[in-house]
Amino acid sequence: MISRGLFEGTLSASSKILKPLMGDLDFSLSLREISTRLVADQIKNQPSLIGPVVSLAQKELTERSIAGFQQQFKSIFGISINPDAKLSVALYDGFLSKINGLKKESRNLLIGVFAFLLFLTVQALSPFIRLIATALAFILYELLMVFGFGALVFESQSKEKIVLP
Amino acid sequence: MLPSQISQEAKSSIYQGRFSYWKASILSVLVVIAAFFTGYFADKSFFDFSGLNLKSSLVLLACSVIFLALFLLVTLFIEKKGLLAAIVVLSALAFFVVFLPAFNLIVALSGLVTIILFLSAVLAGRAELEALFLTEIWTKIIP
Repeated sequence: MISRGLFEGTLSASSKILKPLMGDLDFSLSLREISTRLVADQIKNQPSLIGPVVSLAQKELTERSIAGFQQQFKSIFGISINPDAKLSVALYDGFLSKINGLKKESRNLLIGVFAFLLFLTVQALSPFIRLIATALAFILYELLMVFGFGALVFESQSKEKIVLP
Repeated sequence: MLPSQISQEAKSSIYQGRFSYWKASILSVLVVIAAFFTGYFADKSFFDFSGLNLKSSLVLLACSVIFLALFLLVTLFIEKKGLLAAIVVLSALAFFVVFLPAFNLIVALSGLVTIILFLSAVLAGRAELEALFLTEIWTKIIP
């Protein structure tokens, strides 16, 4: 239904919008890279850790963080995550497996909801599009009239109207 | 063009009941082509996506604007409702041609919804025009 590219693009765009809520989460990184970065940030704030302890603690905490996330991911999506794959790819596969596991009716309903959301998005943009389209149509209309494509015609034929009071 | 600008020739109703089918065909072909390209770029942007970028969005926007402008002109110029409905159905089908390789129930339903939306839009447009032009002034394709 949704291509991998669209999903990744949407995630990338939404991560920028949701930055104040979610922090600096980059979905194009792998789980290992994200964990390493998070742990490194946490260790930076621990002045008591020094020298080789830092790298050891970092490795240990990274592995623990990956394992914790893998467990959570499996409990939500029912599949295990490859820590070296991009997070967006893992999420896509997770959602895909979840959707494929749904009943046919639920899957159709989900697709219907997606189509409706797409329709609402286009509707939200329509006043802007309508404005430009109307301006373009008016220019084309005037051009067509100038070049004799059409004419304003005064109809002499009478029209009957029945009005029920 | 204001009613005062209507030529004497037009006022004498020499175009009464006459209709240029070849000019209507030109408009129809244009609107069908615009519908096809709008569908093609919508498919490219939403279902065959290769990254959210400004260029693809602008191309889709331009196609939609051109299609809507032509749609408006077709509604305005083609007064024969049967012909208008046929053109609208054709353009809805042209819009959906690119989705046919992935044909399933959803695509079929979406196509049906598109046809209904296009038809209701064109009929609503025609009704608006009829309400607007309660006087006997009409825009016509002249032969």
